[in-house]
Amino acid sequence: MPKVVLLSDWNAVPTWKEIIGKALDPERGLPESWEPRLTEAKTLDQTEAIAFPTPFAWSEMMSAVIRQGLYNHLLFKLYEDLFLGLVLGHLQLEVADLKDFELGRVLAGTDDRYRYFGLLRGHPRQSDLQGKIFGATAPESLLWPSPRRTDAEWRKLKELITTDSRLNDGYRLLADLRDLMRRQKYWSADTIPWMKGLDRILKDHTGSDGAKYFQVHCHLTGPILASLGAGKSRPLYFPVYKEGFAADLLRALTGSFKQEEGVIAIYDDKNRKACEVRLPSVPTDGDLLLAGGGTLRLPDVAGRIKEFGSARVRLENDEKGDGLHSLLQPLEGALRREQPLYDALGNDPESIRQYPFFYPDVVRIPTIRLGQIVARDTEVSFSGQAYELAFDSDSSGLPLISELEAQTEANRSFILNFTQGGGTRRLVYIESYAGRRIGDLTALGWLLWAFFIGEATWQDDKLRDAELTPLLAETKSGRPFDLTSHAHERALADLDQYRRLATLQRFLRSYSERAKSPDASEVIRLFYEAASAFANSVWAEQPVMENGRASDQWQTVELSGLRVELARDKR
Amino acid sequence: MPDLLIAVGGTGQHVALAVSRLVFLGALPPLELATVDADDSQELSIGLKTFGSTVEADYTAHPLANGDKIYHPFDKTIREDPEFRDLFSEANLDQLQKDVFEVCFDEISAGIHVKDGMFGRPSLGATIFAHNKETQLKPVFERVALANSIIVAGSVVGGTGAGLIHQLVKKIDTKGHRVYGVIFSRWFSVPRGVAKQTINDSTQDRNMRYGLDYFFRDTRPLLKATLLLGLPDHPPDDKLVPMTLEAGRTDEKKHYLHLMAAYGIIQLQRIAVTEQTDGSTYAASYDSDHRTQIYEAEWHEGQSLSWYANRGAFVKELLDYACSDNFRREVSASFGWMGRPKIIGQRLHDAISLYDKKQRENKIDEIMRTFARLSEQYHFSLSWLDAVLDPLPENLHHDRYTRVKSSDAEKARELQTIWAKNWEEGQEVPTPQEVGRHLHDLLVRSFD
Repeated sequence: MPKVVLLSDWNAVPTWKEIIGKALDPERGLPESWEPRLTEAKTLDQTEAIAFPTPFAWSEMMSAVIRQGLYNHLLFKLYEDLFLGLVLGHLQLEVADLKDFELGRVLAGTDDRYRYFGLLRGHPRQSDLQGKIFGATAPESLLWPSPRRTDAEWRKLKELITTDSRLNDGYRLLADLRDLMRRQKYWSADTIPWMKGLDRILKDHTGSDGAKYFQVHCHLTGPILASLGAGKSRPLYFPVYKEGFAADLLRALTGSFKQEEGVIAIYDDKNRKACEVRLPSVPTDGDLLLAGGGTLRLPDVAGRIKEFGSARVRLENDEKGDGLHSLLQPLEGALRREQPLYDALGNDPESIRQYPFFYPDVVRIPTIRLGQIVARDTEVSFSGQAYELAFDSDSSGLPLISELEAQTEANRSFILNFTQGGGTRRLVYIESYAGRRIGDLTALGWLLWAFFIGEATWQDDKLRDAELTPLLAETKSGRPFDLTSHAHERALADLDQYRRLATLQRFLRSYSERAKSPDASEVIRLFYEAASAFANSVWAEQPVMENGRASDQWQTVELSGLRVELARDKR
Repeated sequence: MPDLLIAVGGTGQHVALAVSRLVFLGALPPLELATVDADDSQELSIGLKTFGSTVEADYTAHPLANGDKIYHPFDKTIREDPEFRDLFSEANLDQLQKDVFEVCFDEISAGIHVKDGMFGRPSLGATIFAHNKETQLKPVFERVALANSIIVAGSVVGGTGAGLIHQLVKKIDTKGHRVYGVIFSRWFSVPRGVAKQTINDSTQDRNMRYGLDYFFRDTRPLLKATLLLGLPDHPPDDKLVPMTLEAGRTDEKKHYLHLMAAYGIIQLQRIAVTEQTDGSTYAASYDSDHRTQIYEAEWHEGQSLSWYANRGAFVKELLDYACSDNFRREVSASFGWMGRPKIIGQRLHDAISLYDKKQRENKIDEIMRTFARLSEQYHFSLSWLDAVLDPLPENLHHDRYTRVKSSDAEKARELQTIWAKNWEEGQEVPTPQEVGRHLHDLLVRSFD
C-alpha cells in the first residue's frame, strides 16, 4: 500500500488528497483501536492508573474500567463495595473545598470539577475502618477507590457489607435513585460511566414502589458533582439508607434551631442536639450547594431518643426563635441561582418531588412531605388530621393540589377557594389520599348532620354539641370548618347509630338542591360533598339516594367570618 | 507578535529543532519558542539551545526568539533530588491534605525522584505542572498572553510531555487565542537497558492509549485543531520506521515525523482559515510513490520546500566560497595597489574600507567568521533535511543553485553581482558581524 496515514493502529487509507487532512470530526470519540488496553488487574499495584495525564488518574482509571465493561477488574469490585459501603453507612462522604489548601488548589487547578472533593471515610462506629479513606468522588465515575488501602482493609469493608441485614434495603435504595433519574430521563448508562457501573452493581435488584425508600427511608449525603451527559454536570445527592428518616427529620424540624459555626443546630424539647444542617461559609467564588449546604450532619453514634412534642414544623419565626425560612435564606439564594431546576425553596414542590436527588435534605424532606404549605405565605392549608400524614413514616407526606384535582377512589377531597381580606386561600378537605382515609369531609358531614337532626346547636356564636362543647377548632390561620380533634374522632366513630335512611336521604336532598343551583356558593358545594361523604360512610353498602322533601329551615351562622346557612330537619 | 511554539518534553524539543531549521531556511514564518522540559543538560537540549552549536554571540542568532531557553516544570535549584511527595511537603500536611494526597497518589508514585523526568508517569507530570504553572512556568504564560496563535507540540507516550501537555492547554485561555496541537504518539522504540528503563515500548504504548483517551475527552475540545502524528503499523519505506534509542546516547533522533509536525504548524493555520476546524483531528499521509510530495508542497509565502532548500543550498555555496582561503586572499588583495574591488563585490569592499587600515585584516577575518558561522547554520538545517527526507532530487534543483554549485567562477560572478552596489554609509561604522549578516541577507534576497 503506497499511501498510508501517519498514525499507529490506523488501518484506513487517507481520505484526503493533500498531505494533511481531517481524520476525525470533533464529535467522533476515541477510535476503538486506540482505547487503553486495561488488564484485569488483581492487585492495585498492577493497576496502571499513573499513565493518565492528570492528578486524578485513579478516577480516570475507574471510568475507563467501567467504560470498557471490565467487571472482573479489581477496581470494579472495590467500586461496588464503595457504593454499598456508602449506601449502608459504613462509609461517610465528607466534602472538602480543595481551594482551602495548597495541594488542593494545585489539584483543582487541573480540573475545577473536582474542587468540592468528596472523601469516603470509614464510619467512626467501625473501629477497624474509622477515619480511613477508602475512596473519593468524581464526576464521571461518581466514586473511585483509594490506592492506599490494604487488602485486609478492603476485606473488612466487604465483610461489613455482606453481613449487613440491610443489604437488600441498600440495593433497593440505589435502584430507587436509578428509577427516579430514569423517570426524568436522566439515566444514560450507555454514555455515562457511573450510571453504567451502577446498572451493573444493581443487576436484577429493583426499586421500591413509588421510590418510597428514597422518599421515606434515606438521608442524602454529598453532594457529588456528577456528570449527567451532554457535557452537563449537577450536584447529585447520594442516598444513605436510614429507616423512617424523612418523618424523623420532619419531627425534628418542630424543635428549636440555633445558628452555630457553619451549621444550624436542631435541638429537641429537652435541649439535646438532634442534628445539624450544614451551612458553611463559602468564598465569593465558592458554591454553597457543592460545599454541602443544606445537608445534615447526624450524630455519629445513636443517642437517646429525642423528644419533640410539637406537631408543627417551624417554617416561620415564632416564640422559639427564627424559623426554617429565615435560617435557610442563604441556601435559598444558592438554589435560586441554579434556575430553572432549583426553582425556589418550597415554591415548586413538584420539581423537588420529581428531582429529589438534586436537593439537600433540609429542602427535599420538608417540601416533599408538606407539599405546598412549606412555601412562605402559602395560600394552601390542610386540616390537622391531614397534617399528621407528614409525620407518618409510612406515608410520603401531604399531597400536592395537582394530585387532588383528579378525583379517584383513592384520592377524594374538596378544595375550597376562600377569599378573605383581599386574598384567596385554598383550603383542602381530604376524605382520602393514596388509599389512606383522612375523613375531613365525613367529619364535616357529621357536623352538618348533627345540626340537621338537632344534636348540635348554634349557641354563643359557636356550634356546640348537647354538652355545649364547641365542635369546631379555632385555628390561628382562621381556617373554617375544621372540627376539634375530639369532635373529629367522634364523627368517625360508630357511624352505625346514624343509619336512618329516610333522614339521610332528606339530609342529602337539602344540601343537594342548594349545591346544584346555578348560583351555588363554593361553601354550599363543600357542604354537599361533606353531607354526601357522611351519608355514604354511614350507609357504606350502597349509595344513599337523595329523597324526600328538602328542608326549608335554614339557619344563618357566622363561622370564621364567613356567613353560612345550615339546614335543620323539619321534623 | 510572532506565533508561539510551546515545545513540551523530548518530543517537543525534536519538533522545536525541526522548526528552528525551517524558520532559518525561511520555509516557516518567524516564531517564538517556549520549551518546557525537566532536563536541559542532554545533547538534544544543548543542540536546541545552541542551534547545533552554531549560535555565537554577535555572529549568529538562534532562528527562534527565546530559542536558547528551556523552562523547567519545577525549581531544580531548591532541592537536589526531590521525591514527588517532597514537592508537596507531605510530612507537613495536615490530616485532610494527607488524605487527599494519598487518595490521589499511590505509594510508589509518591516516592519517585522527579529531577530529570517523570519516569513514564504522566500523572506526576501533570501534577508537577499544575503545582508550578504560576511560578516556574510563569514566563511561558507571559509569552502566551502576547501571542496570537499558539502551537503546543509534544508526545503522549513519555512522562514529562505526556503529563504536561493536556494541563498546559487547559491553562491557556483558549478563548483569547487560537491554540493548535501537534501531538505525537509512538515514534521511537526503546530496547531493554536504555533510558534508565523508565520507559519501554510497552509503557509507550500504554501511555499513548491512556493519553489519547484523556486527550479525546478533555483536551481536544479546547484546541482549534490538532495534528496527530505516529508511525504507521506497516511503514511503506524506511523513513517511517521507529527510531531506536541507543544506550548512553541522548542526541537528536532525526525523523520524518518532525518535518511533518513543522509542516502541520503552517498547514493547520491555513486550513483553519477556510474550514471550521474547532476540535477536529487532522493527520498526515505519506505516499511512497510520490516521495517528493512534501518538497513540492506549499510552505511559507506560497513557496515550496524545495525552493527554500535550493535557496539555502545556494546561499551556503556562496557563503562557503566567501569564507574560503582563495576568496580571503582576494579580499585582502582588493585593497592592494592593483586591487579590483569588483572582484569581491563592491559592497563588501566598501564596507571593509570603513575600517581603519590597521584593523582591516582583523575585521576581514571577523566578516569571514560570520560567513562561516552562517554557513554552519545552513549545514545544520540542510543536512537534517537530507536526513529526514531523501536528498533534494536533481530534477528539483534550481538552475541558479546548479550553476553556483558547478564552479568557483560562477560563485564569484554571483557575489560580484549581488554585492555590486556601493555600501550606503550611515552615521555609525558597522561591526564586521553586521557587515557579514547584511551581505548574507543580500544573498538570501537575491534568490528567486
